[in-house]
Amino acid sequence: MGTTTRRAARAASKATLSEAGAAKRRAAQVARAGGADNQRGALPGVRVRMFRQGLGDAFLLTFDPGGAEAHVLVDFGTLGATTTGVSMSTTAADIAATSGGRLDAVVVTHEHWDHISGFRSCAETFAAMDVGQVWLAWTENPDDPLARTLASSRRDLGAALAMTVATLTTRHDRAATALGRALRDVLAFSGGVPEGSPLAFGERLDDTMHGVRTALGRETHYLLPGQPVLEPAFAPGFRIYVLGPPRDADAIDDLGHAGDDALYAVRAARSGAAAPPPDGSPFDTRFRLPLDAATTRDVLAGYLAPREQWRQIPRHWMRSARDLALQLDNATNNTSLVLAIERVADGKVLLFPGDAQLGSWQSWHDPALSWTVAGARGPKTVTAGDLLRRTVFYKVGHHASHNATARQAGLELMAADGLVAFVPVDRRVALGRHPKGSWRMPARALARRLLERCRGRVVRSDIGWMANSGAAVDETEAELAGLGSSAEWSRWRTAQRRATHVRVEPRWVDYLLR
Amino acid sequence: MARPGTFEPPDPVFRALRAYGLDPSLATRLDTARVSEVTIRVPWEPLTPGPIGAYLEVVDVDPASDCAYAPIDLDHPALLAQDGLAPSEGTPQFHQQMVYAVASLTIRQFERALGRKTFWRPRTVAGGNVTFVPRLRIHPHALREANAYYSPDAVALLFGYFNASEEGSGDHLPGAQVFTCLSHDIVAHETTHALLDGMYRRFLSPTNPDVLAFHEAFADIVALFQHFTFPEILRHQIASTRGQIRSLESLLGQLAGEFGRAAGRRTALRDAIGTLVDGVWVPVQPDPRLYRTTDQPHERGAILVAAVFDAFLSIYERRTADLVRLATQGTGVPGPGAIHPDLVHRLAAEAAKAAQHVLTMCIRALDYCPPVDVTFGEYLRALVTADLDLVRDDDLEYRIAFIEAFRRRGIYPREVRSLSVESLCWRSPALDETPPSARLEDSLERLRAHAQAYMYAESGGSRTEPRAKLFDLEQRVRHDLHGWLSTHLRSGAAGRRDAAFLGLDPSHPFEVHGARFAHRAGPDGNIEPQLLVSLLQQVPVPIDPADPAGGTMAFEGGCTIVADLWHRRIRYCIRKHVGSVDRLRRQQAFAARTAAATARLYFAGHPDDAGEPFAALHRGV
Repeated sequence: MGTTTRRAARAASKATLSEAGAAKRRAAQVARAGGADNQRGALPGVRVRMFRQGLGDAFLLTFDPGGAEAHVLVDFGTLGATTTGVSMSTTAADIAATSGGRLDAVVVTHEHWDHISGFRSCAETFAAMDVGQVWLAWTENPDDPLARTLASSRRDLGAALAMTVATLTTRHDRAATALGRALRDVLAFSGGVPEGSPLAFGERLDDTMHGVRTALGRETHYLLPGQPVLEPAFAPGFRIYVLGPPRDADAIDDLGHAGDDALYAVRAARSGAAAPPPDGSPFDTRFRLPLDAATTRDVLAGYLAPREQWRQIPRHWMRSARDLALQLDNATNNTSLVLAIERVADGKVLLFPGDAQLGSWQSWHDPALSWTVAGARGPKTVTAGDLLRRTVFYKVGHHASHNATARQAGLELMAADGLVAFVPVDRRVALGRHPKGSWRMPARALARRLLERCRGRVVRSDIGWMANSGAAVDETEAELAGLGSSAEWSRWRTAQRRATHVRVEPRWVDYLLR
Repeated sequence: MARPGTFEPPDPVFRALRAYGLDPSLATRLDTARVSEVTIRVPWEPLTPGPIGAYLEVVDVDPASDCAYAPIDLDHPALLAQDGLAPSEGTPQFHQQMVYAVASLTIRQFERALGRKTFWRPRTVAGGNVTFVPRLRIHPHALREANAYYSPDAVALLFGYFNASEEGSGDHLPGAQVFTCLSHDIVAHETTHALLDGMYRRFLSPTNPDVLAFHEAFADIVALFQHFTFPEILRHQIASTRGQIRSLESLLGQLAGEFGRAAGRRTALRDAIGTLVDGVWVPVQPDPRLYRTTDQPHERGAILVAAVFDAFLSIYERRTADLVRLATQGTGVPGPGAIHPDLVHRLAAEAAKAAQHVLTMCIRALDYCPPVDVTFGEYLRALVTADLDLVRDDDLEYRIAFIEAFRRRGIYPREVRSLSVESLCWRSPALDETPPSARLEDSLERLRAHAQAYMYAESGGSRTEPRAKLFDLEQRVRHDLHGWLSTHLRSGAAGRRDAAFLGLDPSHPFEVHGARFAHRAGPDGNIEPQLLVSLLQQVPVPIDPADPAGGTMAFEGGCTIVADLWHRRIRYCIRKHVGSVDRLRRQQAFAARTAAATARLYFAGHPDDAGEPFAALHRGV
């Protein structure tokens, strides 16, 4: 296992970006940017625009804003925007207008609907645009055997779950229906379970991803942690580090790799365990006593007695479906492409971790993962820890749920002055999911720690600057009441006022690295 | 009363039942086919179809298949005459027989070591009262997944069945049906979870990384050492390893072989002493760093299992050193080829004896554990103390073997200064910083009458089930003690001092969590009536110390008291102080570290989210 992984990793790392197409433009841009630097003596700037299209990610990066302007789109999806009401088509039009119809690169971090839905719903807009490169994680590479294995185990899991949802939601049993609804909402991340045709589950997602891979841009690149630093021609003065998804044998468990015995339920799902019962049982028909027969009720009298109801186990077998849904969700989130964008001149870093969860964050600190780059005094080594310590902009993972921002391996290392966190979220949409009120985005403990680390500079795409909601708020914000003392809030509000490089607009929020 | 001239045969002592040796996979391998079937002897009891006895009831309902399977009647003459059904994967009634046999065997091990009857987790009814649950339910075909778990809510064991992996399967048909209820190890493991939960209900709350790991490890330890009670398998494995259990792969140190291979591994689910490196079995060297870095309960539990198994191996090697010297002309190195069958028998006898001793030590140590927040280090102290109480003269140095095995894995109790037997043994109250008041110890006198009643209730002999009587008696003792203590702890300086001694905060309510009596042979050979009491308290504290407005959790503390009713003396008070700031801080840090479970995001508050701490644990989410 170990050797295969390493061999595959080497092969894939050879597939670095082919720069042929961009070579000519690079020369022109370097000249332009260099010229500008010489005249103004300024650092190359970058603007991050977080769109407010709801519970989903859509970020447009503009390098050298107001100058040569190169645009990179990171994700484009939503599960709904109740709070702002901003539609995907409006956002797509905004992207086209801002970029002048030309995207130098599109990054799709992982195949979850809240990150990709727009590539399907606004396909015409993208067809009319000029997209250069498409960057995907190595886990999306159809030529990578390991990626194929992971994808097929996710697909099997999804198929089994979709069947389970279909069965559960049609049962005349409240607990079963409730579980079915909760599962369906988790599966919405994978494109949803089509009404009436559960077997078509995943098709919408697969189609969309196929389009992203083959038709969206002129070239598609699959990125791998540990590959040489990217220095794209369209963003002179910037380096891009690929931190994840991990590929080593240990961390890959978190991707739901079928070979891992701890996740043997994946295997069970593949053999149909989570699917509704076929007609048979594991034994010959002659052993079966149908549950609805009167004679069976006599045999099971002790078990079926009303006073023994607390011990009955009619639905316990279905609960595995719940855990399988979580595995599917974790596995997909952990395939997130993780990028750290560094401004060479002052080392400031913008961090885009997709929805990577704890296992991925920890893998970035693998001692084997480091990069050698040119420094002022010769080559120097850069580690993920260095990048986190220099992070000034953090795109908060998974809508600030509690499980997608590592503490010790992540947030606690982000020590730069002026750290700003952007949270793409629509809390109203999240809380509306089944079971109601359970999807806590942002999670209270994380929201508080973010406010502390960023000294208040935390922006949410649904409401703008994080604010002291106090006691008199609606129920959506109630759980976040009293996140800080009034002294803290007054300090945090001052910091927010002074952060003039962050601008909250009706349809987006801008962050400017001057 | 029998009429004159008639003959009433005496009740049998044992019921013999056939079962798979460890699991069905032994039958399909040439080298183990000979020992693939064993006969288990369980204590005799009358059974109704199920089987349903005094401790267990097998209910074979399979909701996923929308059917049930007819219960087996083990008291049927045809089955009594042939030691039950012959092993068969395709007959559900044999499955019922095997789960009953293995679970009964496990209960017997437990009761023999503890020297008293065991209870299952009681049912908590309205008002916080508890009612007696006489029988553990066993559902041999409850789940369609590669999983089996103990459900504390239903006081039931649920076993799953699944299709074996399509790839890399060693000894079974790819895709074949695999039943977890036919694995001795899985049944013994889950039964032990239920037994341990019956003793310590709070060991389900993961207040530190060791608690759930302890549950898993303990269940594995009991399952492992039960291998040594099958003489056929033991002799076979001693012969095939030529007595070298430590350095060669054997079934003795492995758990759930068929399950592991069917789930796609090339080896058993867990192995106490070895691992596969590039497909070759090698013994694992203990690594003290693992204890500091491993959090996953099964993996962390494996460290404790390895420590106990290591201690066992040292004891076994010590017990057999003379035999090996004799058989090898003093070289200690056996020559090539098989070892003499007589030597196999003698080594097997020593191994069985050592295993029985170690298992007894491990189970008895439970009486010396704190009622909440247990750590591996405290378990080591419990082991040492329990053994010291039972065997004064440690001529074979069992205790040293344990201490050494734990030390090699970096498991130390937090508060001791050295790893000697004296400093590991729980301290007697006389050496305590806050010794108890005389009134507290005098109060033990009032419990002597209860102890008397308890002893005779345990003996049985009446129509009521003795365990039901014992349970009622325990309830009475709990109420009695609670009444007396709650007045005492709030009365003046002596009360305050005793509250500190017991690890309680007198301003909060507390619970007498358990009260049991045990009659043990003391060091002088006399019978010593012992009282075992656990006190428990919950204090609300903020989950996140930095966010006082953000919700609270219950911080638990209390103690286990081991008292000698003969001398009216508290021997040990094993304390987890509810006012301990350090412990609270560690617990909050641990809670913050483990809060990342995704289940909390999508399913919090869902009705199915309640209970089942073992289900998800075993699924690896």
